[in-house]
Amino acid sequence: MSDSAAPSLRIPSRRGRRAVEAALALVLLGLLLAAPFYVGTEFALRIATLCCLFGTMSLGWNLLGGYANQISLGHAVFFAVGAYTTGLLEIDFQVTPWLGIPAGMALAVLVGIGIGIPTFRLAGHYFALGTLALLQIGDILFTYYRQFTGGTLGLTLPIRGYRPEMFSFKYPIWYFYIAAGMMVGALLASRLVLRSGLGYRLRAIKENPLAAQLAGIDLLRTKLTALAVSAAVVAAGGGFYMQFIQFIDPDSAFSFQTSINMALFAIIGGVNSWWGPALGAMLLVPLSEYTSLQLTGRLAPLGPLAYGLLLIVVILLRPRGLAEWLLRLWERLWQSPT
Amino acid sequence: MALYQALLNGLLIGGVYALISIGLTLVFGVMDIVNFAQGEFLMIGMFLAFFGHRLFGLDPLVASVGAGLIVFALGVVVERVVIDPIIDAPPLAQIFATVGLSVVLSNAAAAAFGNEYHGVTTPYGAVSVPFLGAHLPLSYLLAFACAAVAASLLYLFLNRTDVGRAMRATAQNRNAAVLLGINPRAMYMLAFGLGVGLAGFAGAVILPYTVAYPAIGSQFVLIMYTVVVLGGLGSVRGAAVAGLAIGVIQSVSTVFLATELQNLVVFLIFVAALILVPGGVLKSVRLRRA
Repeated sequence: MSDSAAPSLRIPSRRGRRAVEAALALVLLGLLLAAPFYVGTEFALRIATLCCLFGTMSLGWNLLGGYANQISLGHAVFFAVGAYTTGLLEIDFQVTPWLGIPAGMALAVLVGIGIGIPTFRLAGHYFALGTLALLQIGDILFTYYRQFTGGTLGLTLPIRGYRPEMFSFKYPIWYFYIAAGMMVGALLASRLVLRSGLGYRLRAIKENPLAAQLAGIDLLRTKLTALAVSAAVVAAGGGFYMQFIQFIDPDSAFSFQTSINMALFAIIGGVNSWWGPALGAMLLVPLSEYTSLQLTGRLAPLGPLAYGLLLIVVILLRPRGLAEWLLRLWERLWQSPT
Repeated sequence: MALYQALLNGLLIGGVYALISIGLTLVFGVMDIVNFAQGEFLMIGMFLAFFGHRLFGLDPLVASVGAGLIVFALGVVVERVVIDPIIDAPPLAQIFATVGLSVVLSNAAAAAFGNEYHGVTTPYGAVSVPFLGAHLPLSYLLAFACAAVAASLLYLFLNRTDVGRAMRATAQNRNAAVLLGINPRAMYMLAFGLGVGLAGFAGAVILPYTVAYPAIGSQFVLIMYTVVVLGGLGSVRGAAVAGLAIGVIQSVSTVFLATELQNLVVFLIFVAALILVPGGVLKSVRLRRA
C-alpha cells in the first residue's frame, strides 16, 4: 500500500521523533567535526563542501515550497542575487565578502518581497509559472547589461592571495567549515520556523488556504515572511558559491537546474521535515558529483536522466520522502508488537 | 517595410505557437494539470520527423501525421504511468511529476541523439512567396497551413463529436460528467494524448525552418505558457488568438530591440498578464463587455 493516499492519522510518536532527530543531529555533528580525518582528497572535500552548500539552499527552498506548498521554480534568482552582489561588491568596490554576503542576503530579501507581493496573489500553478518567468527575465537582463555584469563572459574574482579577511583561505577545509556552519544555521532556522507560529500558519495554508484565511491568518504576510527567510538563506548559498568557485555567469546563476535541484533534494529527503532537505542533499550531491565525473561526453546526460526518474519515482511511491519513511521505520522498531 | 514583414512573419510563427498552446490548454482545461513537459513532446515530434526524413526520405510535413500519432500513443502511456496517480495530488507532486518528466525526456534524447543540431533540407526550405509587397518564406507558410488544419480539426472534434463533447463536459464539471456516464479517466487519457500529440505534430511541421536538439523544449516552454495564460488557462479559442498575438509581438519587437531582448518582451507580458488578469485577457475583455 502506498502512502500517497489520504494522509494517515497515525503520527509518529513524539518520543520516536525526538530520538531520531537527536541521533541524526549527533551523527551529523560528528561527521562534520571529524571531516578532516576521513576526507582524504581535495575532491572529496569539495564534494563535502558542495553537500553543505546545496543542503543549505534546499533547506531555504523548503521553507516556502515544502512547508507551505508554494512551489517556486525560480529560486535560483536569489542564488544569483547573492552571488552577483558579493562578486560585484568585491570586484568593483573591494568590499570584503564578509560584508558582501550579508548585503546579498538583504538584497535578496528585498527582491523576494518585490516578487512576492504580486505573485502571491496567484494560486498553485500560477505562482510556479510566475517564478519560472522571473528566472528567464533575470537571465536575459544579466546577459544583456554586460557593462554591469560581464554578460556571458561572467564574473571572475581577482587573484587575491590567501587573505582570510577577504574570504580567501589557504586550506580548503576552511571553506568546508564555513559551508557546514551555514548548513547548521539553515537547519536551526528550518527547525525554528517549523515549530514556531509561522510554521503552523504555513502548514495551515498548505492544508487549506481558505480555511487558514477564515481562521484569521494573513495569507500574504505569512507567505512573504517565509519567502524573505527563504530568499536570505538561498542568497547566502549564492554568496558562498561565488567565493568558493570564484566564477559566475548568467547561465549558471539563473539556471533552471539549480532551481530544480533545491526542490529535488527537499522532495527526496522529505518536505514536511526540518532536516529532510539536508538529508536529500547529503545523498544526492555526492552521487551527482561522482556520476558527472564518470559519465562524460555522450554519456553525460545519463546523470540528469537518473535524477529525473528518481524524482518521478519518489513522487509516485514515497511522496513524503525519506525523512518520514525513516521515522516510521524507527517507530515500527520502537513499538514492536508484543 | 521591415515592420510589415515582421508582422507577417510573426503571424505565421504565431500559428504554430497557437497549435502547441492549444494542446497545453486542453490538458489543463480537462485535467487541471500544468504539463511542464509539453516542450519535450514537441522535441520528440521534431526528432521523429528528422529520422523519418533521414531513414525513409519522408518530407517532414508528410511525416508530421505519423509523428503526431506516435507522440499521441506515447502520451497515453505517460498519462497512465505518471499523470494518473497524481491527478488529485497536491500541487507539489503535480508540478514536479511533469518537471521530472521533462528532465527525463530531454536528457534521454541527449543521450540517444547527442546535443548536436539536427536539421533537414527540403526543396521549399529556401523558397519564398511574394505576398502584397512582402516575401513569405514557404516553409513558414506551409507550417502555418498545417497548424491551421490541425487546429480546425480539433475544434470540429471538440464541438461536433460525442467524444469531443464528453471531453468538454469533463472539463466543465467532472462529477456531473460521471453522472452522465462519462468515464473521466478515459477522457484524461485521451486529452493528454491529444494535447501532447498536437505538440509532436507541430514539432514536425516546424522542422523545415528550424533545427532539432534535445533542449529545444525549454525554448518553447515559456512562450507556450505566455500564450496559454494570455488566452485564459483552459480556453482553446483564447489560446488560438493569443498564439497569433504572441508570434506578432515577438517578431515585431526584434525590429525595435536587440535580438537578445526578443523574449524579454514576451516574458514581461507574461508576468503582467499573470498579475493583472489571471483569468486570461480575452475572458476579462468579454466580461467587461457583457
